[in-house]
Amino acid sequence: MQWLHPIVLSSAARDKDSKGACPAMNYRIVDSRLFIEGAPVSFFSGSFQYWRISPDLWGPVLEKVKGMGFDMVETYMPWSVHETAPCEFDFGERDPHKDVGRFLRICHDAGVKVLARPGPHINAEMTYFGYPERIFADSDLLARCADGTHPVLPAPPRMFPLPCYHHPRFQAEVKTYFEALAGALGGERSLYPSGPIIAIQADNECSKFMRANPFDWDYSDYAVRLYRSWLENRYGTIERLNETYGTEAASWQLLDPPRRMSSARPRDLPRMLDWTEFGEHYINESVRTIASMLRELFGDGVPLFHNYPVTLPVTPLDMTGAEEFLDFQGIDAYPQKTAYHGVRCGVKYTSAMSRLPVMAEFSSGSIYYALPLSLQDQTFTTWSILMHGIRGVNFYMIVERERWYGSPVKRDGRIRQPHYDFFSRLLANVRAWGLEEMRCERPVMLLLNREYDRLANAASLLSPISLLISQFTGMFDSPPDKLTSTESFGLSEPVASRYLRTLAFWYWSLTAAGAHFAMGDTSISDATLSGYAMVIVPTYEFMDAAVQAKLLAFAEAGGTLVVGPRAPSLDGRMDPCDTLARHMREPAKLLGDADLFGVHVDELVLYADDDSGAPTMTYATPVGAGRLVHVGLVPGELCSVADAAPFSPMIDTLARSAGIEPAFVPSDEAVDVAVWRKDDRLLLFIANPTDSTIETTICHASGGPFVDLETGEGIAGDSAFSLALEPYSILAVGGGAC
Amino acid sequence: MLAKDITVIDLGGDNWSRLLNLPRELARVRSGEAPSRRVLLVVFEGLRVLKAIDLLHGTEVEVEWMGSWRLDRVAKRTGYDVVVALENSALARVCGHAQRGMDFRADMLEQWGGYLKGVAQEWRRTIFTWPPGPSRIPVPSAGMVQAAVSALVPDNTIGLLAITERGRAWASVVLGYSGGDFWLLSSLDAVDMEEADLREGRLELACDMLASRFGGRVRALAIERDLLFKIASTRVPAAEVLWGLNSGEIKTIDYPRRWKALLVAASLLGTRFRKNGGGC
Repeated sequence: MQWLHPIVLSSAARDKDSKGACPAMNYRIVDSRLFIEGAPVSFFSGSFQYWRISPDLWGPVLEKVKGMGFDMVETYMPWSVHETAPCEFDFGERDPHKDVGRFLRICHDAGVKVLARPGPHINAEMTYFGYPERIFADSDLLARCADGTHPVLPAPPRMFPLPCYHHPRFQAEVKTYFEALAGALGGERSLYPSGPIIAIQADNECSKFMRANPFDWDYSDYAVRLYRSWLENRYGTIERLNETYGTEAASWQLLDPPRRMSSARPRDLPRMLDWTEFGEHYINESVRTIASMLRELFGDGVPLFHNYPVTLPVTPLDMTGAEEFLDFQGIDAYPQKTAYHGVRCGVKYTSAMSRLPVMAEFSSGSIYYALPLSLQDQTFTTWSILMHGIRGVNFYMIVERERWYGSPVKRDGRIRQPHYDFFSRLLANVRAWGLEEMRCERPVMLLLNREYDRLANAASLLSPISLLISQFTGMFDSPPDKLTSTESFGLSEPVASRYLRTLAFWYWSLTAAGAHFAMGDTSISDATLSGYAMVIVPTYEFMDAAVQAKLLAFAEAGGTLVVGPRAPSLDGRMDPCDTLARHMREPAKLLGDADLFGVHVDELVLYADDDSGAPTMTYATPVGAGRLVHVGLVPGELCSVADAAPFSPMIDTLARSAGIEPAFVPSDEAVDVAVWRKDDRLLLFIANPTDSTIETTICHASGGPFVDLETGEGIAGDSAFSLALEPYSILAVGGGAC
Repeated sequence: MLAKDITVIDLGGDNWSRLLNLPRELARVRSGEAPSRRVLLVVFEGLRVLKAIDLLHGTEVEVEWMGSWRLDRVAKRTGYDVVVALENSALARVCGHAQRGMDFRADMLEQWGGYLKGVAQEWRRTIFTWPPGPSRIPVPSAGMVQAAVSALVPDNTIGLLAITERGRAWASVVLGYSGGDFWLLSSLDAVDMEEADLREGRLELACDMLASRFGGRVRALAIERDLLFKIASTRVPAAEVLWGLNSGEIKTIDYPRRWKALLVAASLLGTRFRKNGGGC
């Protein structure tokens, strides 16, 4: 069983000589690393917004950035900055601040690669987020809420209405800008190796502006047209849709999207869940449209990527769907040190779901009205994302600019020494320790169930609050179902609420047990799934038939599949389906509001043991070459590693039965360990994410002798070593030949 | 009142961090050891409760619901100091009210006024609280607020607030006001004096440099951090303010009389007749 992320190749670059242009960049993404011309790219970048810095200082400031060890910068190229009137643009002809071509030449001459982010949405704390103001004056181009009003983003210094990306005229406006920009940059000549650009971002933080509740927006004409065509694609005939929905619609054109969550029986749910899933299609089609324009103008010899404004990109974000047309994806985070677990689960998810998991924006300094980040926040959070699998970081902002503060390089080129020293040391250590070549060992995968995520999003108690926004500060630090309805919606129990609690239970229990696990969701590919020894997925009354089949195939191929608490009896369209259920037993007994290991659980489902017939909460069934393990536990509220500590022995038993031997498990459940390896080199990250000093012992079977990589001092202990970990600190320990 | 293209520049690093943390620290000093108020959020639809949660911890709370007009009993039985009851459509309705009249070109003050009007329209229709609050929410017009600010802040002003620690700048903020708009947000970092000693004429120097950098007339107030905390914690802040003005621990430059009067009036309003809360 291979534990590592499988090798994935991006689309190969085509030779552009036939167009008479410069040769295209030859790139590929292998094993979560970007290679250009066969050489790996050290994906550490800093944001430098040229139009906000005096052009005379571009060169000197860039040298300061290079001085920290960066050989890549990122910049937006804002539509509203370059457009001076409709169809008229200034790329430095009038205002030298806007001479993006010169900025790119300076970068290229300095040997600095560039990540280009042309929008159209950029935020960047700019008034109207980079959209020209005139776009909002045309109400035809705007999205609509369920009540017919235009949704507004309440961002300072001016709130603005949100455009509909599916309006053909909006798309034409964006294309006009992109054509002008590509012309100013020289199109493919701006790409590496003839230019500095090595990747382009297709739009920014496309997430319905975090107003992601399905019944909030978009009900505009073009969105509804897209919805109808999506349904037509999905169902083929109106009769088939009517059969699923239990409706009598005469044609696609008469289908209206639901405007509120309403379901009295399982048959009502597909319509609600389809509309919620359509939100994912709406977003991905927006990005796909922008990506197509960029491909047309810059060719397909450049990686395209996208980023999400949350750490855990749950519905309506869909990484799997987006990687059909993007090369890679990332997430953005500006966390304080106390948000460790919020960031951790997002990184665990992204590092398993993106080909090249990057932090497209990671804090370096702060937005002017946000709570400040201390250098300790910066140090702890930066190492925590690297520890858990982020393979590239763009530090936003590495060069300070208007509406931002606290970056290591000021607008005039002066430096903030402590921050400057931190970044210099960070990059030096990452490279010296060989982190970029190593792999994180995670034999266990915890899967979010996308269908239940959708149900939870639709079941939000307070529209326009969505599942996405309610987990903004961390999915599991407080009950994840706090703003989710406990209604059953025609099912036999409140699946949305109970699912979120089940997810929290597994997250905290795996963490408390010191298990090394990744996170993903049920859209994960078969190939990626096969890289794990044990896969855990919460199951309730219904579950998509194809997903059930995929999970069963994983077990049949030799994996251990952990499901429960219920056996799904319906598929996603609420038709009978027993793909998994036929391998699961009928409950012998249900115990409501029970006490298990001193922890309150909502329900215990007991089954008759094979041998003794005694009641048991967990049993395993052989499936092909693997096993299906059913855990009949409907958990209560678990919000911390301490809450879940009593379940550690259960997790330990589950893991061992899947052939996973515990490795580097700390004696204190609050301490977190990540194991990285390449050949005979071993790198451990040991984190204390609490506000107290922790003394812990870490047992190991092999891998020594060990050394503190920061200080170079040896760590004594043949089969275990003891450490005192400062609050909010991460220790890097080398073993083997490291 | 807030310029569309407000300039937010040179805020510094540690200096600005301290400033943003300051309100929280002052609130802590002012409230002393008094426990924070516990808030219960009840989301309901018609006559049934969909969920009640402890707003701080997010945990679910069992409530006996007798309708939105009997929140006093919910508070009494659950022991929460504050109960907020929202019909599940309340936020969407408030957004709808605000969005219906929203002009993207309008001043942000006016835009926020739209949301406040939305809350006022939903007050006691889909939004209820215990303690019950006013019977209706007064929404001052943006014009009234603008007129009040214009009367208070002389045109073409650059205001500097510096909080010092033994005379050295510890945190600072610079605000520019002109033509009815706040157009600038900055700090002493703009003149490379982020942590400069402001004694012996250097506050005046900072003002001169700010004037030459941003134009306008600079009006400054510098206050020692210790005194600021004393003002926050004392029961009679006006006494500390007057003492500071006379002793030089509060230093002003070109400070309009109306601002001084406002400072004293605000500190009088902060008088507390009981320990920890119970202001006049």
